[in-house]
Amino acid sequence: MSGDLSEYRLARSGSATDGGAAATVDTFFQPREPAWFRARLTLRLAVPLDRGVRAAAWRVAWSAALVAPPITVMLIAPARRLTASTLIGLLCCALPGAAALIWSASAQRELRRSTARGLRQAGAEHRTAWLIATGRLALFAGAGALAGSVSITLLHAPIGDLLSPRAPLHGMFGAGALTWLVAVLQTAALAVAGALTASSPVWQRVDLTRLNPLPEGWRQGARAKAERWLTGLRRAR
Amino acid sequence: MSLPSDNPVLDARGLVFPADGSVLNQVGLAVGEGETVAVLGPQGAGKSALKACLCGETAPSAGTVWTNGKPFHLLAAEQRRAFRLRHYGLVHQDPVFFPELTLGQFAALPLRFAAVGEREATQRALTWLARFEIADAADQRPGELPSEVLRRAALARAMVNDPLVLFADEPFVGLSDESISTASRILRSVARSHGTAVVVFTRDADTAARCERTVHLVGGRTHAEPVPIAVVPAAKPGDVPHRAHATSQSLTSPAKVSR
Repeated sequence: MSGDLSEYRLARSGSATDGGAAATVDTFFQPREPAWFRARLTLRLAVPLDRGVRAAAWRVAWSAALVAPPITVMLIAPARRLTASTLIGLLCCALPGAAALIWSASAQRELRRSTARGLRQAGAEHRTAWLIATGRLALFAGAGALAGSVSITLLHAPIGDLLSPRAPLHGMFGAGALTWLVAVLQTAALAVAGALTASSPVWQRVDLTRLNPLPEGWRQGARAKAERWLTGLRRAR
Repeated sequence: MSLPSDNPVLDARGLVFPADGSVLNQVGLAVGEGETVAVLGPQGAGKSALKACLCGETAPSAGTVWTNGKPFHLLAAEQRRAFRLRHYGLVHQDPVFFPELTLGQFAALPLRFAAVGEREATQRALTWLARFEIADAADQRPGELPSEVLRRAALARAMVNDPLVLFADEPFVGLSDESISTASRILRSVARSHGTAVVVFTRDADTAARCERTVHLVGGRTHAEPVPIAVVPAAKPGDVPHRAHATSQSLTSPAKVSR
């Protein structure tokens, strides 16, 4: 019965005859993980069955789709036409999608970690476990970004017609098909990289509270000033 | 309490981790073929560190680990992983199940990672699930199954490569007494019939009592008998090597064991 592993046990105990125990053991178990199995497992784990996990994955995809169009336009723009104001405008357009992507991808951090841990428990290499665990996030972020970029690619001609010839973006919408294709692929790669960074422990270390644009004590000072002003107003009455 | 085997499959001596010996200090453990040994200790006693050193997840700062007469401690990290995949079974305290995989596919994973063919790996996984009396659940997904079945599936997965040594970290935690009795009975019987050395790491005395022998791990050192925590002196580096149980072999030349 092959399920008994008797052949393997015999080999390991040194009782095997063909080529010695070590040879038999080495042919029985190959130390390298087969690439096709890794790919199959990545695909199998990429599409979540759990409803909550699936909803979270879709959020990543929608966020990536939202952030993709302005990034694609940014990438396709010739450097000489991309003025500071245009760049700021495009960045502002990308901001809601980027925030949503960071939020939804960072929510996947624990799931990604636990998947990698589970795979390591099953005997996967660290690198393999990491790659398979990131597969789901990469798939959804990439698919979302592709959808967003492709939509702007398909719509660029009518949008270009609507724009005034003097509009800063007008020239960009006249770019060739190959340029658009490269921009689409670059956008997808950027979205995947962004999602992976947001779900990585590196991003966890970023202390967003330090990004407080208001100087320390500004609120207290403003409140004290307002109170003084109100007190003066009451006295004047 | 039975005596330790003179012919151990797993033989660890003088393990120190980290270098200052604050977690493990001159820890030794020998487990024979088919023997079930519990390493009993409170939280923070160094059980996880000992398990990591024994199964090669962490390299100890000092000491030796011989498995089936092979110097496991001399292997490089990648070789240790390959060796672990072939010869060790691991049951984790918190095994991660994948909702996308059936129990049969889950149990076959270690073999699939070891490049065993799909049909053969599945067949072996089914055989081991049947040995743990959960063959009926092979086609079901973990979300549909009770924790008792999942625990047994984790044990079956650890045994699927027919390991020399099975390391089980709190394998019965969260189970009812009846479930623990059944699972431990199956585990003991499987260990005996397949000649697998089983090391159970636990802080539960009842779980330890179900094993053939108990080694107490307190303050980073092993003791053959229970030791009150307050009595155990703090481990210092450079202390006289202390083993849970003496074997007839010398410390410098461990006997090679063939199976």
